[in-house]
Amino acid sequence: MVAGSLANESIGYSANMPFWSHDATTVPAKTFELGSAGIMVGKPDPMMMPGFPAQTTFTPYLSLRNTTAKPLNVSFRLNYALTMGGTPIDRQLPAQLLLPFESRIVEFEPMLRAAGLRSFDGMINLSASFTGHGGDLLLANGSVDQTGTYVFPVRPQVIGEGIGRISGYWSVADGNDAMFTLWNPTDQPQDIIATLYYGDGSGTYHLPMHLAPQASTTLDVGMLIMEKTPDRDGKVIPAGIREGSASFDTSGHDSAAADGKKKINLVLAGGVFNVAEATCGEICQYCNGYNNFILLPGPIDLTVGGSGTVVTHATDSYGSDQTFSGGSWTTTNSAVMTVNNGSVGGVNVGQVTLQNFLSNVDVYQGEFCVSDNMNDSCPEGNPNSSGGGNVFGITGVSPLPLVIGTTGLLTISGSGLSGKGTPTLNFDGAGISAVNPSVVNDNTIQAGYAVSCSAGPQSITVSFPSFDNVSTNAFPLSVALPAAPAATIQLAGQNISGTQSVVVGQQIALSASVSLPSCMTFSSQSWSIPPGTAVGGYVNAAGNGPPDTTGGQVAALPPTSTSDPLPLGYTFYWVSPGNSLNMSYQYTMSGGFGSVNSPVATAAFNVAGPTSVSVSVPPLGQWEINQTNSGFALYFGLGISPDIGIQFNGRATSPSGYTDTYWWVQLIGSDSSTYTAGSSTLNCTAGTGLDNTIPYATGLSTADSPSLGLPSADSKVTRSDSFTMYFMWRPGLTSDIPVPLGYVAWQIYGDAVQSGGTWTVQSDSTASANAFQASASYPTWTSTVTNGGTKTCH
Amino acid sequence: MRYLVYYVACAITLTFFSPLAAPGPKQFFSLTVAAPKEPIKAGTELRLLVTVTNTSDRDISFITSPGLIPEDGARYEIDVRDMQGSSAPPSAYLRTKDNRIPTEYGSNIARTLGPGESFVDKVTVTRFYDLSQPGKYTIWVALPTPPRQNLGEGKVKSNSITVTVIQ
Repeated sequence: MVAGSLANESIGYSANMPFWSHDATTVPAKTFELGSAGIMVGKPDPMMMPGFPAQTTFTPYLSLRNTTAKPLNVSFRLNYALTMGGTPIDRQLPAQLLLPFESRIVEFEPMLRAAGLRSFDGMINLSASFTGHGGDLLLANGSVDQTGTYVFPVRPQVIGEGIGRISGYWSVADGNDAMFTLWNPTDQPQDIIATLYYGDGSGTYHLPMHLAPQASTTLDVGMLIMEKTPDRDGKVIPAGIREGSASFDTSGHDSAAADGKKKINLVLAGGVFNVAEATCGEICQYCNGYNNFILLPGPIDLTVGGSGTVVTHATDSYGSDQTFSGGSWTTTNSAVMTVNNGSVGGVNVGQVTLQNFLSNVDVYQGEFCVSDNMNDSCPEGNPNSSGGGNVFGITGVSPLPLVIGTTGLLTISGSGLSGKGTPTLNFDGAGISAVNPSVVNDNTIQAGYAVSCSAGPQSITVSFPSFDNVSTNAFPLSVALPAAPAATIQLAGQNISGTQSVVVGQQIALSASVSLPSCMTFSSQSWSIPPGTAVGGYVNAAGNGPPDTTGGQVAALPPTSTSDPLPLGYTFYWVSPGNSLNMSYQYTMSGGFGSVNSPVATAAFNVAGPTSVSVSVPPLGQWEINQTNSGFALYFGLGISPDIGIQFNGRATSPSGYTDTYWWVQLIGSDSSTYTAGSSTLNCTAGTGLDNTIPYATGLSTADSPSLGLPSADSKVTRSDSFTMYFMWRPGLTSDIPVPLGYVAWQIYGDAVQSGGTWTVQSDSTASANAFQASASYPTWTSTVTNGGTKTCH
Repeated sequence: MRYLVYYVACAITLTFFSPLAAPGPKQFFSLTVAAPKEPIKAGTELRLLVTVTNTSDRDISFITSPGLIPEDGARYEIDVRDMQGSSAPPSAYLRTKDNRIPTEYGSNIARTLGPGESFVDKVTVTRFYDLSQPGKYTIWVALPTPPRQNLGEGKVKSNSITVTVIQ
């Protein structure tokens, strides 16, 4: 900081020494116009400035200095009015060409005379213009009386726009008076509001002022007080107010300006003088401007889809809040929040920073005296105001999907969830409820939840009743049916895993064990068809018991599927051995809004059975006539070893660990007998079907020696039959069934003739047996032939 | 070659054979009839279980019908008498059967019993006798000695049992 002044204490002369900071930047040169307002010329106005000695005459002075190393051409313009409030007059004065670093005192009198102001009394305004940089020209001017007693320096100031000036201390106490001179250096009228601030803080005084183009006016504080001039509000300055400060601000409006204020371009000079004491002093001025630019509300909270307005605020030089419009607005993430000239819209949940860049706004840069520093103009800036933007809402919910019939802890993720009081969870569909919601932090809300069987997809919102009942965005909740648990396959009521070892004929009573989730019931179930050879059972004619004399039949495999809601069992019997035979089970459960298929449960089986199976038939026996208690009979072998008609010797290796229970079952495929007496022959049959009973016999061997009674009255009797002897094995387990291993088909024909009471076997009598045929086919029948049973004859 | 077969045809022949029911010189096996524990209703079947036991010290083979417990009443002599000692009347089956056609017919197998071993036969008495009249009946059965085993001829008689028929 540098300051300086001139003084001549012997004659009471003093004057400020102006300093101007030199713009040393390389910015392009521009034209500067420096204005000095209220330079007194001639005799002072006795009304405005009473007390000067008679004959006091003021003469302007002007000093210039070129601070550059180049010549500097300075143009001058004189502005004045012949009468107070008269038409402003502009005149160009001769230019001054300053040599490098030259200092020059310009004689003002000749220029005034040249301008026709030889006998002018009043105030003039002077502007000096040059092209260069700030500080290239130092200029000092003012007025001094002919005695050098009264010096009224007027500090030039750059003519430029601003929203106003703040004037420093004024005083009307102790013979002082304060006077402000305002010059409108433009060709546009300007409206100004002058505000006087009372020194004791008791009030303000607002005086509207209109300045025509190039016009000037003077505000004498002492006269305002003395004449009790009312301000715009009808108030007058209390008589006790002797000091204070003042400001001169625009009162015009400009809708295009960010702050709505029409800028003014004013040359202002002020001073406190005391004629009696022959003192005067300049009143320092400060630029009005703004600082503390912010966006309000900050941060702004929006919902998704919501909208709002953000306004730029700043504090002016008086400490008052000022709002701004316009500017260039930006958002750090338009996918979260959009902004358009302060209007914001919530797009997605998240946070952004909003900014508004203002252009050419008067900014407050601290207190500095315009005159002292001879600044270029009131400083302008492009302030950037910023603030936060929150789009609060839900970004996620866990768990998802929600499963019907379940309860648990619901975690809602989002942004801006805290600071709004206790939340309320709202569902726009039925079936989902929440309890005890609480805010964990700004990003998390948790609550207990329950999903009923009837719940479906819907949306959730979170509202805050104690915070204007604001509500978040609706977040979709997917609802799912529970997963179908895998069933456990059971064999005979016992859970099984891995490969099961079973045997043919063993009852394979499968069932599936599964605990269905809440809300779900069986809608269908299915078993796979047993691989290999399997039957549903081996039963009697009625199908309600084991095969017997009423009949023998193979029961079909049970249905593999059902829509019955009860668990489906599946019972069958393997007939043939095999390994890695898989049975699988699957179900579909339904409930809520649909159905779900279960995983396929599979059980593997190794099915054992007799191996190395064979049946051998030794050489057949002979037809013979044997005496019985009632006479004679035709026998195919007697039946007692070694006289046996047909012998069956079975061989097989039973599965390890099972009793060797082998069965023989014989079916009669055809039967006929003839009884001839003289020329009469009866053709009879005992029928076909099961031979007596099941089993025919047990063990690894059996035999048959069929017989036929020979009536004493007959001369010839024949018998013709075909048989099939089945070899079977039964594992000896509970609820088992015999399984066929194979069969031997055999046939007989016997022929006996009586002659003279003696029966003889005829040579055409035969018997034969086929080779053993391994087979998994069951013997079946619908009738039984019993020994001694009734014959049908014709 | 002809062999004697002890094949009981019908109850009528039982009367004929009854004088032969006396045991032979040596009894190689025994017959035991289990009595019903309760009275039977008239018109229902009376089915007796006859246990044949080898009481000798050698194997004996018997000709029987197929089956684990075969229905072999036709192989037995059956004696049924009322309280007055009269033979019960023959069954409708016997009364109406065509005597032109012999009943001897069917498959035959041998059961061989070792010493002390037994098997059981079923004998359906009501197939041969009419027990429709309420009262008490005394019943015994007899089985001819099996042939071709050097067991001699004759038959073995069972114990007698009393069966009550009620209305």
